[in-house]
Amino acid sequence: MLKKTINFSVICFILILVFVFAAQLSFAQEKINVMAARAHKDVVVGSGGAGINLMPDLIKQEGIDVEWQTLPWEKMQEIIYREASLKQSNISVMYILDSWASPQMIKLFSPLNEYIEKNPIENFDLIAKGMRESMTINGKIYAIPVRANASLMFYNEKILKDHGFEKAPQNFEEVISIAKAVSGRQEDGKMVYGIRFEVPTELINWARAWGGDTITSDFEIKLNEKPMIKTLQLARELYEAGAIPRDFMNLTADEYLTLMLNGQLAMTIRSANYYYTLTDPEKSNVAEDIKFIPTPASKTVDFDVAPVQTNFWAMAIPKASKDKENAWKFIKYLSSDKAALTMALNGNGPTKLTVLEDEQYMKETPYAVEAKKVLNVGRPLWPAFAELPKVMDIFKEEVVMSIVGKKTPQEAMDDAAERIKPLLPKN
Amino acid sequence: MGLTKYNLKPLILWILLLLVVIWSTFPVCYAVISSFKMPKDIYRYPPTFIPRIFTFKNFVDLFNNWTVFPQAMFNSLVISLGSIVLTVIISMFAAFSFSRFSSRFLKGSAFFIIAIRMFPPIIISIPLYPILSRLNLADSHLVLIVLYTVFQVTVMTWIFKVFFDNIPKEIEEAAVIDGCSPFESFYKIIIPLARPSIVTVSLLVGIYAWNEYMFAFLFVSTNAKTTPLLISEMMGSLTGIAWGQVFAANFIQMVPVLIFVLLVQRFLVKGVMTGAFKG
Amino acid sequence: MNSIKRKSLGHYLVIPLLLLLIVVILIPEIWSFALSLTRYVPGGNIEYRGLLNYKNIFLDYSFWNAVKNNIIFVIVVVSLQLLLALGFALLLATGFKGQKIWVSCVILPYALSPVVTVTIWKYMLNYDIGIINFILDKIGFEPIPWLSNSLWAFIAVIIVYTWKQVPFTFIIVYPARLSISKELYEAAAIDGANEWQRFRFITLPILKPTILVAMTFRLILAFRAFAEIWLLTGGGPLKSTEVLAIYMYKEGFRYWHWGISAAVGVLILLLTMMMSYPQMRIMYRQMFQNE
Repeated sequence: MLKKTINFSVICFILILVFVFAAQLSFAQEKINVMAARAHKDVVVGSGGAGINLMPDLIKQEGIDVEWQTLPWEKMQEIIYREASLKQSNISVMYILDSWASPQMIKLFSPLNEYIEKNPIENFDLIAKGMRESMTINGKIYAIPVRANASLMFYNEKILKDHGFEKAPQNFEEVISIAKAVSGRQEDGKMVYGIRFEVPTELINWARAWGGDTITSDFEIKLNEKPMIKTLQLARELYEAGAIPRDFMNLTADEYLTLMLNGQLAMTIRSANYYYTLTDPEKSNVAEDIKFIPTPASKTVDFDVAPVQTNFWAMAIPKASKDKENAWKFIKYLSSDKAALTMALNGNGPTKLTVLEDEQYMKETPYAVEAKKVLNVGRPLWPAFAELPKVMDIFKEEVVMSIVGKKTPQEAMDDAAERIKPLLPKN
Repeated sequence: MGLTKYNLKPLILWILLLLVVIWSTFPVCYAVISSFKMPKDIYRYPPTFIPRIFTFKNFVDLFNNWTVFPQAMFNSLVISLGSIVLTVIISMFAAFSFSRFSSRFLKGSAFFIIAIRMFPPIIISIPLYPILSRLNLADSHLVLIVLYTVFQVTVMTWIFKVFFDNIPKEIEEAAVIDGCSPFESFYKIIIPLARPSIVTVSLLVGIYAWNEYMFAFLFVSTNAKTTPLLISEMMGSLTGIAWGQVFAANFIQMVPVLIFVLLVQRFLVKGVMTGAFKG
Repeated sequence: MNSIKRKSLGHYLVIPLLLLLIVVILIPEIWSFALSLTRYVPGGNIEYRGLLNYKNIFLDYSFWNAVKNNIIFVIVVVSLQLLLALGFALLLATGFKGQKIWVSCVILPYALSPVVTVTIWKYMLNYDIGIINFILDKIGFEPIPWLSNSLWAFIAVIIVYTWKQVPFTFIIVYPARLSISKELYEAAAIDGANEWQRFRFITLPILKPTILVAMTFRLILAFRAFAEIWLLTGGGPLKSTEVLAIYMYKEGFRYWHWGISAAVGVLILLLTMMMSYPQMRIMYRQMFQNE
């Protein structure tokens, strides 16, 4: 009995070793690994919108299969940077955000010019020029733009109507007053909040409605100027009035989305691509009540549409990738006219002009016109530079301190400016 | 009067016991039950304990949306088993030496392994990262197996050593007289006698490796992704209603271990008793 | 001849262990010392900087914040653990029907991953829909902003960490309590000692060494806490729950200041070594009790 146990364990041990070996080999070869956020996968496999799955076609046409490694939004930058800095990586394609593309980070990825020459992307010049250029250094392009996030203001019509607001907010001052008025605990026990308030993102969006910003693309510090201060004061008022969650500094974009889907959030500035998720009866408790407008600016400025967050995502091949040929096939396929159109119908914000001119897309996508308007006006939240993560953290700290009342807004922003100055690139 | 006091005491003790049990098990029970609620119900206010609708939807969604989940479970299994085997072998050999022999070298080694155990695991993460990258060992099962072994091996050696100390030397000496080489005496006699401690060590190492998060988070991304790492990534899923699936994943990850621990808890408690102290 | 052969065998058997520890811990740590004297961003060049990193760290108020948080965390958590574990052990030692089940229940949290633990507690501590605030509301208290308020987040982290770690401590204290023979208590009872006196004069003195050992172990482990805190608050609102391990992680893997991160690691090591000296002595003596 004893001997049998020992023999059994030895056999198990050997089997395990064999398994480990096999695992290493098999998982490494078959599929390419793509590291992305969930939304990127959703538009390729068709989890929403038109619901068309591109994977079978991709497999058939290019002969490659894909394993999606989806990451939580907030941790993406760290994990991707870490993985890209390895000498060798199992990841073939990474989705990177424009704000991350600092000169230091972009160097971790392979220049794509050769691939474009040998195996060109269809209608390459029709991919938004501005986006392509921001991914190009010294004539070498490092990533192909694939998803544009133009932000709209989504609001829950029913909540507004229930509190006597028949029309959508016409300017940002109305946004604030609506937010204050509608929030609180309803009769059914549910907590409703006026507006999404993720830090530091929303602070920047709101400041933009007043013509303000944190840092310009020339690295000028603007966060301690009037628009941002005003924004912080308003935020503090809303916080005191309970119009934004007490948890606000911890809530992720995701959790605000859940609140909106639950009918607990009245307004949110969000990428237009979320239209489908918000209006899908399977995912959303308030599908019929969601409407949208371009984010209104303040009464006091001379433009109507606030230049809120407009970012884009691009696909890149890390230098460490073991499978660059297949990686390029993936990128090329998704950049084709047909794939770009399908992804857009599935709810993706297109980066290719062919999509924006496509009749079917314009017809089937209710937000296409608004999104196009915003695309021209908006810009990224931050410029790309090496110390961005630390700067974002500093800004967030000071913002939270001023909202919970530990410092006045001016104090907080002056402190932030001082701490951030040495971290900006010297020109 | 003395009689009433005597009758109250068991009642008070049972109430205290109930409180202790609730404290220890309520969160787990709540999580287990929540994995069977409809996703919308998980976010309902006021919260309910018992699901209004009992459903397996979360489990189905889990496997549909997170196709890497089975692979993650497999990785966790492989890494746990590998860690157990490696730890048991290395620490058992070493413990045998510490128990049966003595020399300056051994004394020095003992001091060394105890001192080095004081190194907080996280501080080797920065230097190890580029080293692993250069050796192409990043994101492999081997990395985690070795790391887990390294941080368990000192304590396990100690547990084995104390156990061996309780096996009288006479047994081996009798075997040697009967013609066994020292190696044979170890293999044929000590190991079978050490079975209970092997079980204890396997349990301790296995549970540690199955549940570990930090090293998996730092050193692994896709190939060797373990279940705890996958679940932590699920917590940030963009559709927002994935909490049901997170609970389903929790259920699958923890229930086997829980049941296992419940069944073999006496090995844990007894094993620690023979070791007297544990860290 | 035989005894020399045996002695070499003894040495050989220890070599795998030593090799493993040297290659995986010692050498990287030496490299870490070296790194801490440089400025290094992955993908870039290594520049020598001397002790500049250390100076910057000492000037950084976030560092001292992390030290403060770490120390308070450790003291509170270890005290709580010891109290609860002792209490549980004493309670269970009185003997109940179905003893095995109750012991299993108490040990349960030990078998959970930090990820699972945090998922469950995050859900229970949620301000809007968490069951804890719901119960508080029913009793008549204000719901508590667990994870959004600096103080309450710290308390939450303490609760979650303690909840998970008490079983470890229990596993040490409980068998020790069981090993105290019943006769001692009976003799004392005959002599007229009441419950409290029996506890003070029998249980406590006999358990003291065990408790001390448990305390030193738990102190060192609490000092390195990372997973539970990182997953629950990520360093907490306004860095209120940022402990040294998290500070080190952020410097290294979020800001990519590897030289500084390595330096923080060295400082953590020094602090830990200072705290571990008593435990090292205990373990060493234990291992060579028979000599």
